[in-house]
Amino acid sequence: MKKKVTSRGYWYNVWQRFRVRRAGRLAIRSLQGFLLIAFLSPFLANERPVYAKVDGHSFFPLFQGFLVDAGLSSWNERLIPAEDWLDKTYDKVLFTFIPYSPSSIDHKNLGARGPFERQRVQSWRHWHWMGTDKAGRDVAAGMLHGALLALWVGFIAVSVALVLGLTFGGLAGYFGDTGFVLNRTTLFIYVFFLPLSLFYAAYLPGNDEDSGWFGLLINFLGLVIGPLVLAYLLAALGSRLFPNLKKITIPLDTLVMRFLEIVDAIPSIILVLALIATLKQPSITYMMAIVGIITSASLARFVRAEFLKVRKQTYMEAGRALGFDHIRLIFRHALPNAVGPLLVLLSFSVAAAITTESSLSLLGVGAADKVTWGSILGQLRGQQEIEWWLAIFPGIAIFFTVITFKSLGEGLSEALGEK
Amino acid sequence: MLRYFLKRILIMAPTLLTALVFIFALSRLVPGDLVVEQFEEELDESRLGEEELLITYQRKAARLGLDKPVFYLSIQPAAYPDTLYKIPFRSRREMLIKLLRQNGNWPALEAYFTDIGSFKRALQALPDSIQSASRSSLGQLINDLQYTTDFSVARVLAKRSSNLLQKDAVLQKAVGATNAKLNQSLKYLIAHPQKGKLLLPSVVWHGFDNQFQHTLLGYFKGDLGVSFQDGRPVSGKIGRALGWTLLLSFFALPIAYLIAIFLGVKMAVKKDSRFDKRANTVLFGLYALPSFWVLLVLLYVFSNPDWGMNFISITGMMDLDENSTWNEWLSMSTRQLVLPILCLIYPAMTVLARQMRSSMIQALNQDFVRTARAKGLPEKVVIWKHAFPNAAFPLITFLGSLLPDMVAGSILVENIFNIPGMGQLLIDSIGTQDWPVVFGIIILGALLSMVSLLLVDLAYAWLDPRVRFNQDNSMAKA
Repeated sequence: MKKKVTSRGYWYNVWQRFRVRRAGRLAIRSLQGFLLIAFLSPFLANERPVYAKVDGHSFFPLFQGFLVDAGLSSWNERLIPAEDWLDKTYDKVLFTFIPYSPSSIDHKNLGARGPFERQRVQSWRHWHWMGTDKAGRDVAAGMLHGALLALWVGFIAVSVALVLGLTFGGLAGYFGDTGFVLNRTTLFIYVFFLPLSLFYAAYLPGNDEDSGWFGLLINFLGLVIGPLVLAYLLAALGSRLFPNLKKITIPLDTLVMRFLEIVDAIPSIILVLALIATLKQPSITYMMAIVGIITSASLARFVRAEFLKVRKQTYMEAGRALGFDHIRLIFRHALPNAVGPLLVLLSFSVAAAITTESSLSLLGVGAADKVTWGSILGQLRGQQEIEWWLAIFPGIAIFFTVITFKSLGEGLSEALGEK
Repeated sequence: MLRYFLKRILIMAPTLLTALVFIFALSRLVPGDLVVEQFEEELDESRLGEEELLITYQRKAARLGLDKPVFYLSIQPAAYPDTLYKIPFRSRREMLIKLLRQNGNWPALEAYFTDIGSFKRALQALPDSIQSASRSSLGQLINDLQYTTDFSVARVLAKRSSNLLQKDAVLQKAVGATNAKLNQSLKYLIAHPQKGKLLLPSVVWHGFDNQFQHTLLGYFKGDLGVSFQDGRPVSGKIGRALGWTLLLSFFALPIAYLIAIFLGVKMAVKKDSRFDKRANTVLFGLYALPSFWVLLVLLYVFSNPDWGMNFISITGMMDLDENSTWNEWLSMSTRQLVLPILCLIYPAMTVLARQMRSSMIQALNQDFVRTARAKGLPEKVVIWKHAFPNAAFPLITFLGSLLPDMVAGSILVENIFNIPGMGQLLIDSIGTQDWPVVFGIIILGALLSMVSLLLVDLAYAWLDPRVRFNQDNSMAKA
């Protein structure tokens, strides 16, 4: 009898190993809970009622609210004024579990009321279960919505870091000091196009001054990538026309590593603080993009090391011998073999990004446009009396989120056979 | 060894230089007009006349060294004037550029603004006896004209001023000619745009008398500039604050290392025992626990008079003044500093202990450890004399990142416990936009981390002859 052997692939095995370990089990459970809370938060805590009946007409303000915020719809005049939803009179009304949004201000409970203190509310349904903060905002609503924001914070920072880190680390590791060879036409085209694109990015008539350096940076990236592609095509044409020009080797690895050394030289939190201070219009997204830029230095280092390892493998040699082009070698051969360790690092980076955001908010630096866990904690800075409910709840939330992503990383690295 | 040291220093120099250039570039990206922000009272537009305002601005800008071009050269459209940096007030500069971007004809624009200026002066120079509604509305009009960035609006405003003058014979006689000239130059400006020049890049050479050179030379001489806040030198301000921060790290670092080494080694020796598992869980929990939150809770618990635990005061070291005696100072600082040091210790300790454990496990599996045990050496000697020195190398590597990390970590600690160290100075300076101090601290941070990396490399070379040998060898080959 022949035993049937089915191979389900490498990642299936990793997953099997991941889910039976302790760290992996913990990560799966808490990640599920966290994602559930994050994505359901608008339906758990919202100042807009789920269902409201006014003058015999039925409305669904919670759902309509999404459309109104997007500018696709407008409130019915029966619902106006729509600011103070709780005090309106309805024929029938159904509120969410917590009838407050994170930014809605309860004017009757200003100045931080604790959950066990006397609160001025109409019924137990309006009770602030985790108290209110200094401005009279409901802490429980801020906590729930904070989960979604924490997710956003991690996502932004990590995706920025990933794009930059993969690009620079990958280039440095894949080509090394000797692999990147250009002929003179190509080099000339690049050298000519880069300053020119910088000039037009900064001075093009349509470019608005008010967008600040960050807008300029994004503009620049767009205008650099465009000319680079153009230069690449021109260079391809040039090398067809003049195939016998002298080749020049660019030490990409050294260039990237020298640059990373400089970024590493400045303690990252100080650099983040200074960069945020130079923002014209700070917002959480910009702040986290900056954190991502700084994080990308360590990511690039890591990707470089992985690629250097992969480069020496025989399958890469085989690929080169078969005449595969760089794109295929990078994306089909080198990258998939570096994904595992990269995932570990990424989940640690998410945890680090959330911690960084909270500590920045705690320091009162940067944006105060959204209620995050850190900003709730931050209200306690320089206080004579500390309101325990403003410290305990966000602290526990941050702790559990960080432990979730750290155990995700630990579990992954165990499952991948690291250590 | 000396050769290795010199080589390391040589490698460090370009990195430091580039870092300084980078920091300088960053310092010029800050938003707002530094001169206006620092001398808000002196530059009160309602109190000073136009002429006086410009002169004051230039004087103040010269005091901050901001009246010079930023860099040796600038790349800008050919339509831009090469003395753009000399125009006082960033807002006016930006407004002029906005106008220039729509038009591109700088000489005509300059003539137009000269006419606006002379019109304004002519209005101000009118004898006080001429007081009419049309005079004040004319003044308002000319102000609007000066700050509009829309040519169609400018045209309407200019026309309105002509209409006003036609009705008022006295004013017409006094400023009619200037008004006519202004209208004419505006008309000329609108009729003769040179938009092609906007798309043409040009390089302007500003010479060596620029902000970049002065600032960088200053950095090399140890001159970090003067604080915007109180006019005192930045280096002195930072030096005073640095003392506190280094004091904290000076206590925290060795303690963290000691605890981590003993804990890590014990965990590695008793690998997979109950002690190891429990310690691991606790360390993992501590590692995930955000230190700033621990700080807040500890501060809450230990400063609470209701619970009779008011060991430390929230106002912190601020209670001390220059008159307090040495004794008071000592007792106060020991009481106040225990918790902050504890809070600096534990994040470093968790990382170090986990690292120690894993490298010690590796070392204990090596052949030489088995040989040592086979020789019958006591277990203590095997662990501390044979395995530990080999497992300690990663800890040395960590030192390079831990020292700057401690300085960074002290930002939170100092802000929460109110210790007047570097971290608090940084946050305060960011809050008050005291940029010379902020960038001075960044430079110091860069220096600190570079020096600690250098120390780590030297320690490696000293402790591990292989490193030294390889380096010297490769140098000999080169």
